[in-house]
Amino acid sequence: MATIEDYINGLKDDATVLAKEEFLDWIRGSKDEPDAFVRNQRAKMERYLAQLANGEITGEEFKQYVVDLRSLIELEMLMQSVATKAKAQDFVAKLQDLVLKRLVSLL
Amino acid sequence: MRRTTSLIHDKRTFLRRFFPSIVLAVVLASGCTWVSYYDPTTYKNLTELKAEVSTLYESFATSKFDSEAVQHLQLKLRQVYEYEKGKGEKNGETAKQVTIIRTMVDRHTQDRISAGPWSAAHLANTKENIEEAFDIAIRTERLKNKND
Repeated sequence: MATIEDYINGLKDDATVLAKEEFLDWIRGSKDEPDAFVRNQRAKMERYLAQLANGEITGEEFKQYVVDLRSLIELEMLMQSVATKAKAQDFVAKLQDLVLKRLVSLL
Repeated sequence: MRRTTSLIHDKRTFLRRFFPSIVLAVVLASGCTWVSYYDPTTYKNLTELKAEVSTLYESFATSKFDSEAVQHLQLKLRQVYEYEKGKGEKNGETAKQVTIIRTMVDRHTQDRISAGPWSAAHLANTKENIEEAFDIAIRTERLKNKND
């Protein structure tokens, strides 16, 4: 069973040695990632590479997963945007209801 | 003593007069477009579509390609997109999310057409990603405030 390191290092083109090293470092660091979503995507990438190394998936399929992960990141960013706006919206609603209507009438 | 009482009175008068304006100014200064409220129809549409897409993807691992099922699903995705887009600017994020999901489904379907039946590993990986995409959109809807 081929390891990810063997597979990456076995790729042709010596000019990309630095890129290979950077990539392997990035993959190895996935366990320390504090964000659960990012950690999950990096773990998936690690799994895809292992599958690619073992011939379970094709290069074309691997490329598709990279595009999928990019789409998932875009979706997650849109969710974060909604989360921030919803919190602010809730704050302003409470500000208007509790402070503006009730507290000011007591002043 | 008299001066202190007068100051308190002045403060109260000031607050009574200007506090609503201050709050209004804060609200307007925030300048952001609020998000639409939680919509149970959106939640239902997305959860149902997630199951339908997953089932369709399972069929992509077999030799039979059901083009009618694909067309039916594409129509439903389009209807959901039109519904979300129709809610206007406040629902921009969800409309964009549906667009991204539609693009993913189209790309995956095209892959099935051009490359043939999916292997077990390819099915598992692709299904995992499309289900996660729906899960994010469903969670997004649940994050929205309820209009009650």
